[in-house]
Formats: sequence, structure tokens, C-alpha cells
Amino acid sequence: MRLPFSISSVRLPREQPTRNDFTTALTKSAPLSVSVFTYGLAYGALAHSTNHLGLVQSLAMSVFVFAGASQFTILALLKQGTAFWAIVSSVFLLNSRQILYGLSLGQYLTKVKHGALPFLSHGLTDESYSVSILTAKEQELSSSFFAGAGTAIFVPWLISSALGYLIGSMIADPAKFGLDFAYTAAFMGLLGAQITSSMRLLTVALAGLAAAAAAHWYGTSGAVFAGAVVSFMVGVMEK
Amino acid sequence: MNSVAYVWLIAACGIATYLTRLPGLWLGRVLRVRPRLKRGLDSIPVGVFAAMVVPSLVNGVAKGGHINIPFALAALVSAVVALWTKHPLWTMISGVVSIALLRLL
Repeated sequence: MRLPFSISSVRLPREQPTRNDFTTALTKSAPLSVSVFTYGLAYGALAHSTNHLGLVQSLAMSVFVFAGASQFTILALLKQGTAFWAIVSSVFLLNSRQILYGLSLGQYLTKVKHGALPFLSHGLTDESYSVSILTAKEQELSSSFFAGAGTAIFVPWLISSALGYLIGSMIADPAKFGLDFAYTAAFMGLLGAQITSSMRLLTVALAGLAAAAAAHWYGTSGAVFAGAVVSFMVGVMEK
Repeated sequence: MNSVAYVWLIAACGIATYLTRLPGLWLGRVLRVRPRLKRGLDSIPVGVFAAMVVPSLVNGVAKGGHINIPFALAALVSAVVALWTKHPLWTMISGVVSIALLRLL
């Protein structure tokens, strides 16, 4: 068995930087870039409606957290006055699936220079994972490709977060009749995208039930943990 | 929370997310994941989203001990749009517009 720390002592053949792979990744990710752009508009508009975060803070979140579902959740939890560590741990739980993306993709990234990985890893998302893993099965995955797949998501996410925030500030007044419902509806959309099988529908029912009960006693953060635990257990027990 | 706390919150959430990115990629060179664990972790977002949706639907529909009809109808519209488009922006727009219109009636 190889150990992670042994890698730095092994001289790997230096990878040739290929601009080509970078642009190939941008092209392959284009449909996802468009979809991420529309997600970002929703995020920006909601960030404005919280009345908690300024434009710079909302953008800082898009730069440093750079995870759509988590950012929606942070906003909703902030709005409900959830405690600091409850928000942070919800974010960790929500993103824990990315550990798997890393484990699955890491085996194809053996040629990436050691010092580059900490930077490249920030570009790991649902979208860049999908594009990269499909490519890794056809050809060798270079760091240029992985960088391109990350950039294809990062840039539209930033631009659309800012644009969404500005649109939100313009429509805040006319939309005040319905803004309280915006979060629930946005999460319904995120949930809809996850319902891909009847098993997932069962998970929604069980997790929703547990969450509703937990919300009654422990509030929103209790609901999130109950939902996460139940769905994890259903996933593990699934045949 | 005040605005200094927001900076810390963004930093802490950024670190929490980063910890789900780098270590996995690094360990991916030596470790393999069991399919059961994979399915479990894959299911977590469903549970979190359900937890954000279900209690607020229950509260919204049964607000004040009677059925809130505009809320219930808007929730129905959003549910249909959510399953059809599977997208948060379109669901959000349809939800906000429909509840605003229903309240004006």
C-alpha cells in the first residue's frame, strides 16, 4: 500500500502544461456553466433579501465557500437566527459528499504537482466532478483540465452572484408580497433536482417527517441534523 | 450576529467546505470507498433540503390553526414547477409570483 507522504519523495514525470486541456474543459463544461449562472442569480437575490449581508460579503461567500447548496442554506439559517457553529456544521454535513468526489477523482490526479493540489482542490464541485470523472475514464486527467473544469463553474458563479444581488436590490420592493416564500420555493427546486428515484422520494418523506418533528423541539438546526441523519441511514441501508 | 461575526462565519464555512475538498483528493490516491458509505453520503443533501422545506411548509400552511389557502396553493404551484424544472431559480420565481398574486386576490 502506498502512503500519501511517500508521494512527495517519488519523482513523478513533470506534467507538460497544456492550454489545450484547459479550453477543452471550458467547452465540455459550458452547459453546466449556464446552469450554474442561473443558480447564482437566485443565490444573489436571496442574499440581498436576508438584509444581513452586503454585496461584498455575499460575494466573499461565493469566493471562499463556493458551494451553491451550502450558500442557500447559510442564508436561510442566518435569517432564522441559527447559532454560528450549527451553521458551520450544517455546511460541513452538506458538503461531506465532496470528500467522496475527491476520493474518486484523486486516483486519476496522480500527475498533478503536489503544490498545485491545494489550489486546484478549491475548484471541486458537483459540476466539475461530473465533467472530470467522465473525462478521466476516456483520457488522462491533467491539472490543466481540472483547473478548467473548476474555472468554468467559479467564474459564472461569481458574476451571477453579483448580478443576482443587484437584481434583488431593484425588485425588493415589488416582490415584498412574496419574498417570505422565496426560500421555501428555492429549496423546493433544489429538492426537486434530487428526486431521481422512488427511493429518493421515500428518503424525502422520512427525512421530512423527522425534520418536522425535530423543528418543533429544536428549531431549524435540529431539523437539518435530523434530516441529514435520516437520509444518510436510508442511503446506507438501501440495497 | 453582527458584521464582524459574518466575516468569521464566511471564513469558518469556507474552511469547513475546503476540508471536504483537499483531503479527499489527497487521500483518493490511496483509499477506496465502500459503496454503502458512498450511498449514505450521497443522500445527505436530500435530507437537508427536505429539512429546509417540510417544516416551513407545515408551518406556512397551518399558520394560526387554520389552513392558509394562498400559501397552500403557492406551495402546490412551486412543487409542480420544482418537479418539472428541477431548478431553484424557476421554482423561486414561480413561488414568489404566485403567492404575491394570491395574496392580492
